Amino acid sequence: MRMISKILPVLCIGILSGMVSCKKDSFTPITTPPVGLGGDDWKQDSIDVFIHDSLTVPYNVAVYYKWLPGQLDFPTDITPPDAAKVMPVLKALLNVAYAPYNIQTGSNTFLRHYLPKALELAGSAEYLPNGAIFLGQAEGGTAMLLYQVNYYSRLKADSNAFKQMMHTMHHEFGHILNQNVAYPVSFKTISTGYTGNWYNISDADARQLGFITSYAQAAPDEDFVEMVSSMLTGGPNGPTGGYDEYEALLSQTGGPNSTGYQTIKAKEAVVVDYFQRVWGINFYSLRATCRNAFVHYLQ
Amino acid sequence: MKRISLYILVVVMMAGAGCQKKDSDTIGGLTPDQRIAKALAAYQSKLMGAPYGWIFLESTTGIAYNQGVSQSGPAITLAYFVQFVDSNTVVMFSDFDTSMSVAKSSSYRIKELTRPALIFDTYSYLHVPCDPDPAISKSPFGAGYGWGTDFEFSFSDSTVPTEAGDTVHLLGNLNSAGGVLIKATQAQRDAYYSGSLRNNASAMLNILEYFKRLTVNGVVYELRPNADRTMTVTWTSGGQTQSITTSYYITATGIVFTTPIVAGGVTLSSIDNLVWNSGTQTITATVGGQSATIKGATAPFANDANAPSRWWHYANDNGGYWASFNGWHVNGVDDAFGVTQITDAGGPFYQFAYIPNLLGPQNGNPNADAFVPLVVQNNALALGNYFSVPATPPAFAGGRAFFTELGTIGTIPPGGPVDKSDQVLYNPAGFYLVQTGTKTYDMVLASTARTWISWFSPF
Repeated sequence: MRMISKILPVLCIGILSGMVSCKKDSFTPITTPPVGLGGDDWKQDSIDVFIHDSLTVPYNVAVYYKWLPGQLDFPTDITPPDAAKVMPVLKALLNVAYAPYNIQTGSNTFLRHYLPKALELAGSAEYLPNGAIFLGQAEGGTAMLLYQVNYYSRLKADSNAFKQMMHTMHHEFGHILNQNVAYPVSFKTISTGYTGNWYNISDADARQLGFITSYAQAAPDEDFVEMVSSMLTGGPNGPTGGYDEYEALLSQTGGPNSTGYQTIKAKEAVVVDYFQRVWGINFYSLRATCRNAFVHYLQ
Repeated sequence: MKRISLYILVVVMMAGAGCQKKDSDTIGGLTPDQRIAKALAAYQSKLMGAPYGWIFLESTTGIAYNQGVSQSGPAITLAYFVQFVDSNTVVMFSDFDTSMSVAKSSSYRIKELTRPALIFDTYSYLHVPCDPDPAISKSPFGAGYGWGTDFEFSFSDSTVPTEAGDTVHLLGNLNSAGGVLIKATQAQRDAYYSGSLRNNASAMLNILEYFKRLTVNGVVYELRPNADRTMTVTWTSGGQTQSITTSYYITATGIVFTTPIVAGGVTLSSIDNLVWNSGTQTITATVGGQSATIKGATAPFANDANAPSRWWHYANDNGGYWASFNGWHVNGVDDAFGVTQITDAGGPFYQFAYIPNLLGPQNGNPNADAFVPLVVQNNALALGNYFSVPATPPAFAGGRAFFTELGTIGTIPPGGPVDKSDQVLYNPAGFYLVQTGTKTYDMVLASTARTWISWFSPF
């Protein structure tokens, strides 16, 4: 009896599986592809053609500008871009943010390799419960998200908004570069006092503490890319109250002998060294090219 | 043996189940993907199958979500005209703002989500009330929240689209706003394109007086459109003053009350065909088929005589203050004196405030109120560098409040926004106070009723 009771369960399974499969009908092959396979499609218009020709082909970048549920943070009140703003924003990115890298590296190979393969656009900002807002995000070297597309203007009078957008792009691209090759660990020890409450500190106060913007005080990663973007495009709340050049921002540190000034200068040295050593890019000439592109793009 | 028979039983049962298996991969011979594709195509042709477009009514729940955090506010209804002209293009009109009474094109698509969904996927009139930037949406829910409207909807009818008839129901995916698409007639469509929405939406703006009186069949009603997209209707019945506040929306036909107002045996469900006549400074309209007029008035229909004292005491007794984001509204212009543009008062302008008993022995002053711009300094609110000091309390007489100047703090630039604002406050005609909510009052200049300021209590 013992033998039987041990064998029986095995038998059961054998019989069961045999019976279940025995009646199976012939398999119907699927003739309709699953809905949405390969992404949504829609009637292509001039925006889609422009994206294909100017970003997808040369840079291997897909641009998402139509609202895609779940692509951005959910459940969050974010609005999609105004279609009329999409091409102007992309043209500005190409001319002011991307072109300087091409000029410095001699071709679009560098950006084609390192630009994240997805560029996602949102019309509004993303509002956080703490009162701060997201202007951009970089995700693991694969996606870059640019908010506030609807606020775009290339008029000189609106240069603050324009510079903020370019600042955001250089900030996020800085993250992407770091996510590929990390910056030296020594950078993280230049400053102490990183805090999650950065948004309670004014930019001017942060500069006294050796941070180029208050957001730089959030974490070393942010500090590094805020240095990159502030040197390339200037930073917010400078001496004039708006976006000012890097040198002008330094005047808010308390002067060349202050700790704030020297701390920021030490960070500058690491950034310049990182770009030269890792990417073979002379950061100061990249900066000159960026500024030139800026000045000529504003109307 | 018992155990063996149990095994046999199980084997027989399962074998029986296994052998009865039928091919159930399809319903009506269609795989799930085929059924999804078919449903999407059916919804697409439903939307495009309305030759004269749709009237789209969107009603919010009074709750708006952002980052999973909700805020409560007014529940509103907005009216759109939408026409789905091809598979991805929609043309619309909206009653959200008078600037939206011209046709504007944007994109949409129908997509499979948990349910088939209608997504307005680039910015349109529909997105403005959703915009998280309060400077754009003018939302009272706060930064990060629109009015609780949606631009991504699920089709919520339980019937298949071909059987849905002339009405299609939608449910917003973020804020659960309810939507109803009602097939429009050619007359409705033509009315939108011929500017009727603009006429109906802007007619009342021509009346510069705060108090607006509707006369139908000899009966007078006071109409007060509120900032939260509701309308307060006041009338007298049997010697008693009564009032009802309801949300409303505007179509090419007229102004429609979301809940019809039953006033002394008469039901007001809408005010139709509003036409402004600049010669007589009167709006002609029809109400329930009868001709009606709307005119401005310089005094309230039934003044709330205790309101001035109640207003002052609420802030004074709670140690709070009254605040206004826009300062004085004069002759149809919000922020007529440009107080929001003040830059020389110590920081960016935030609010204009009336603060009872700001001055007193505690700061070495005689007791006095303050009529003062508040500015942002170092991420905090601060008093502006210069402001006027009214005597405390104001005089309350004849159902009005009267203010007298006791002095000033700092040097008020002559002819500047603050100076101009002060001159209005000390107008000897005094002010009516109209309570518009539990913590909101409008203060209306009694001489012309064309100048007022909207106060809210931040506490």
